[in-house]
Amino acid sequence: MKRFNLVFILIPTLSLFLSLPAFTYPFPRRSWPGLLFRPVLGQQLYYPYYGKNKINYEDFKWKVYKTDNFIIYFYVNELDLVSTLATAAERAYFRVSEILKHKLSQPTPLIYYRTYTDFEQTNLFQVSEGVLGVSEPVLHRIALHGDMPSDELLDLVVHELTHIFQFDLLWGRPLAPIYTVIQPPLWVFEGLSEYLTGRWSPWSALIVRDAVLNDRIPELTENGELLSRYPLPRDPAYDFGHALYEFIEHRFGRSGIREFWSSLKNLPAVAISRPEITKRSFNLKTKEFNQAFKRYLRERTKPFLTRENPEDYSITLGPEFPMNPYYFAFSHALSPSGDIAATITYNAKDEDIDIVLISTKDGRVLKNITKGYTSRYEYIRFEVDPSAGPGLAWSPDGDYLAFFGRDGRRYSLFIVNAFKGNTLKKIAIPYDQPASPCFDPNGKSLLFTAFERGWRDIFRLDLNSGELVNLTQDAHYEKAPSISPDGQWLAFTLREDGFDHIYIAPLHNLRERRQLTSGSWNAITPVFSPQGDKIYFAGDQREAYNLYVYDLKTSTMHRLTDVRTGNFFPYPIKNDPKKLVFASFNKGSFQLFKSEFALGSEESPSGKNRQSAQDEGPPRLMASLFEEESLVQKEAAIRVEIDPTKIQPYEGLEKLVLTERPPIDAAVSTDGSVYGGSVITLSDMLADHTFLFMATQVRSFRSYFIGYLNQKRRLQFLTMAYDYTEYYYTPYDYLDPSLYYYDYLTYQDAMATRQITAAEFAGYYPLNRYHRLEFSLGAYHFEENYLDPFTLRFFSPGVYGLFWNGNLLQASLSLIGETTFFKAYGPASGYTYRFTLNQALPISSAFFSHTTIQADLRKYFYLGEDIIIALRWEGFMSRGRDPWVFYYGGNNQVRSANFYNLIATEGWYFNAELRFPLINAASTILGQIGPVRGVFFFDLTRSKVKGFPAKFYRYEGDYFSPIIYEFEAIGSYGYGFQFFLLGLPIHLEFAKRLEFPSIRRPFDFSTYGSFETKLWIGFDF
Amino acid sequence: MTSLKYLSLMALLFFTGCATEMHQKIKLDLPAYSPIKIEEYKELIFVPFFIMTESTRPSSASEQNPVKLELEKEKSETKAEQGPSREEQKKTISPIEVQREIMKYFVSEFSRRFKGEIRQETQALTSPEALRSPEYWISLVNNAQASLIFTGQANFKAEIRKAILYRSSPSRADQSEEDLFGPEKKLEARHVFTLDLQLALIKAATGEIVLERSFKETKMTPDLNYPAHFALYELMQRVKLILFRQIFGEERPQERYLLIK
Repeated sequence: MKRFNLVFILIPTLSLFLSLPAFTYPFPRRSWPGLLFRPVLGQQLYYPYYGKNKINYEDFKWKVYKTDNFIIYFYVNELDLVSTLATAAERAYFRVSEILKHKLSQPTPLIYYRTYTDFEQTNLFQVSEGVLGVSEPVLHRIALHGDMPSDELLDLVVHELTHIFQFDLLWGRPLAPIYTVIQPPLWVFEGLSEYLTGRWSPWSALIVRDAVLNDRIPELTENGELLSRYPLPRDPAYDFGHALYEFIEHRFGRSGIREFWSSLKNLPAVAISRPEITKRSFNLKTKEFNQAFKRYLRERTKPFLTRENPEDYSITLGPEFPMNPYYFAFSHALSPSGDIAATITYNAKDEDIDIVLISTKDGRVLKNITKGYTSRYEYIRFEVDPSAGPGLAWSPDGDYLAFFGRDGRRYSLFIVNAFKGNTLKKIAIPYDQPASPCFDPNGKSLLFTAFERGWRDIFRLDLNSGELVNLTQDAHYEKAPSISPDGQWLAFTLREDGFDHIYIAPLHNLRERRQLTSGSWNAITPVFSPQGDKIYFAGDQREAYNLYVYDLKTSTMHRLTDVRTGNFFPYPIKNDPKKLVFASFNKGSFQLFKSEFALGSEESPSGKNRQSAQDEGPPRLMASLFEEESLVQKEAAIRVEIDPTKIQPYEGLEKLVLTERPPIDAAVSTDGSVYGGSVITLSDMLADHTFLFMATQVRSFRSYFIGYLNQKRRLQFLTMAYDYTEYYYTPYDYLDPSLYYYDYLTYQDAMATRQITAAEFAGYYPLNRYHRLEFSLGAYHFEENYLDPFTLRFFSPGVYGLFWNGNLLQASLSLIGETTFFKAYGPASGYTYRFTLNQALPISSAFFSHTTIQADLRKYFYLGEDIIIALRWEGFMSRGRDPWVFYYGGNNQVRSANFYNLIATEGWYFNAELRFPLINAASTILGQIGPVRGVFFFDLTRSKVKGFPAKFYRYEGDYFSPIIYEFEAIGSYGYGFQFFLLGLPIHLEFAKRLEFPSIRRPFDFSTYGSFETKLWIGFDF
Repeated sequence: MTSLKYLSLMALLFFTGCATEMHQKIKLDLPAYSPIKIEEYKELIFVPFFIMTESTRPSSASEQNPVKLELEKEKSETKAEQGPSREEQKKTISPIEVQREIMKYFVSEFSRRFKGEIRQETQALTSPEALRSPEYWISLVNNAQASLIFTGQANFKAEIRKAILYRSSPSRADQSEEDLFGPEKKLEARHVFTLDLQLALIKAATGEIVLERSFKETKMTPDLNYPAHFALYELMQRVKLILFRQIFGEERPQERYLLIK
């Protein structure tokens, strides 16, 4: 139904602003899809959702500090954190600048957040879990958070700053990219950023090595994209992009990389397709380049060829995508008996993270204990990096599982029944990024790690009282705690000088810790043996992570495996301690295996006799970045100390900039009207303040809007002024039985226009992620009339008296909630609601006077396999001297009615739809049109206009002797199809009219006419 | 009048008939003509360049230009705002560094394209005159059948020029923009880098020059702290683009009109 005043259009606009900040050209640390802002346009057909809330929990007091090459925005009071960041930034600048031989044209804005949950509150981008930093090409800004060791922070800044250099090289100056249509492939950007860190993360090297050994190397296509035929844990642009740059350096030298980027500078701004990149830059055809790249990778990976294949250990215990829908075992926990492994995994069918129980005997998936969608938590927290520790823990008595779930601003610990999945306890964790839960053997407390004050510490949580104690409280990064079976000792990982190593300490005093491993390698995720005399862990002394055992009695260490990819999370089985259940990286994902290992050779815990692939063949996957040693020393010597006298407050509105290319939106309604519009946004550097200029047009009716949006605090507000014109069709034959036109006019001739000129103030207060309050106060002037008043008044002089012409001062209050989970095709599960009260203020008798209540209720039942039952009930009532006239009908409201041809001052309509998949993907000459979905629908409506009976009419016969049928309600039923073209959802439906003479006898209905074909573009409710 | 009308009609028909010749614009990658058959050579020998300095460089008419200023040593107002930085050290580049950078760059670029062996000599070109001395080259490189020598002379200069500028259009060369809304005229400083190269390819067996080419490339930037070695690299890239088209006959996109009758 058409929102009866612009509040209901612009408040959702505000909502969309607040829940989906404007952003284009995303280049974060990890890839994620960009999302172009779609303002709600005049008739609100295109985007019928209310959105979830992004809450600004804190009002950051921003300050600014300028270094040689950066303008740092920060709010923390600890200047040592800022100094660490500034030093990392200047070192990164030196490195990237020297290697690329390029200087940025102006200082780079660098926006620093202390923690990840603070980072989420940024108005610049939409940040999702796992994103460490973002750089954007319009204003050359970088935003990142600092919860990580300093070596990782340097890598992050190098990565993001490299993007800024790339933008500068390609487009020269800020704002230039908004005019660019064609741009290089993602691997060109991400690969160089990873390459310039000078390091391979173990995780990244693992992905590449696994793909090479399994002959699954992605290839470049003719237009330069990097394509993998097999699923990979993440976009190949990062890992294989890094490998591509190393290959380019190997084959063409460091200058080859610079020349490559020089050739990219000459890419046309607009073109149908990209020219062949490899030919332009390296004089190699794409196939030749691919062949040389693969040969290079195989050569470098040769030393690993003769090592163990994970499938040699045992049968795969799962997950086994695509044999089952579960892809990836992020981490697992073993039941006390060792028969069952609980695994955090990705459910590809439901597009959700789930915990599944897998039999360690035969790999059968026993149960998904978190099946379906829930609002208990937003998502289950998991870590891709194994060194952070496991994501869940099994209680010693075997009854419960513990994991962390996203719950509001931060996270909560969930204790659930291990076999049913129902929540038994939820405890809010006040710290950032909790991980690695570990039960105490007595089951009364639980250890975990989390960030406090910028360092990862170990905490103990009393499960009964909820008391939380920081056990380490030091300036170190502790990870993956594991308690000995007797409860006396704690083994954990501590990161120092860029490497993780195993430590052991008495549980009652962690300061008496003893280091078990050391050297230039990593030892992670320790686990005690059932007897408590050994510690199992994973280590990369041989570059690939293997399983090790450390004997606490003899202080000796033995390697148990020699895998070619990587083995992680070893868990001994209590009743059969020689057997281990562990995760191994195999063919693009982690899978579980079980095996018994004989003790291998004794290894040095300090890695002194470290065997590297280097000993056996070509050098490791590591490049020396600088060509001269002196530059290495120069970089290391850079240090920035913050001068407190040079810190300035951030002024906010001092400077406004254009933040994105104005989008162009379009929609089509069932009456064939085309809607179009665009918006220009200007905002400050932190996007706390935004000025909007919007213009839309439908048919020949133009609308203009200007507004100011303040998103700095939790309470956000919008002040706006607009001149807005909308149209609808007065129902000449529904309204009054004496109105009867026979073949002289159609319903479209009864078009009326409503022009609203207004000034308004609106506010938005999110209660939590799902629910919020909205309010507004506005002054409006209405002018309404027939589009062709002469013709209509000739046939109906003075009958239709519901036009609004006058002024209105109105206050509005709404309560909105949306827990709905969305999939690619639309809503899948959950509920959405909106309750609104509008009250005209009695400032003058000449002003309109009314009270209006409105409700929109929706519920979605997910039946599995993408089959959904969607229900909607929308009701409205306007009373008073000048009740508001609503208009609705057509599209997916009342399908058998003409578009916006039902008018009422009170009424409701109800929709029920069964939506189901037909074709998942369809490639046609028009392009990709899948998924194709089907729908069976039913709708019903009843409404009235003040002063008239609540009736619908249908006329038959001729002008002089008409037969008039009356109905208390009308509706429709039918079926249809939905498919996507160019990203737009297109509906082709066949609807037949239902007529209900009496609403009290709902089964006494009749149908009328035949199935009518309806075509419209827009999203499902 | 009637005859005039018929005459006009005939003229119109005539010109219309002429206009029936159609053409189509096409884009091709056309190889450039290379005067030397580099694929016939088995070895490319790099002899370090003779680096011209102020004392060795012959005077030219441009040096008499009163507008051109000497090297600026004091800090500019812009630099003062930014504070002292490492860029101070990078504003100049010594002749030794110039020679090293030029050699490093061309050796790496040629090694990607030249299919034969590459060798570097340590003895630099002693004087510009030696370039044209076949005996010098024959004696320098013994037993050098099927070898080609790459050498030349170079001069790299970094200077700050000041001038009174009027409102002007953006400079494409360095992607800078003039202030279009500023005062009508104001005193502006620009950091100017100039690379003078005389390159020569010499047949080692006979000392004969098979290719000689002069280049003068300039980079101008309003950034007074722009590192000199970055500018040198960029200028060498421009030289290489032109040079390699000539030596290797690299293809470049060209537009041609195809007549269709």
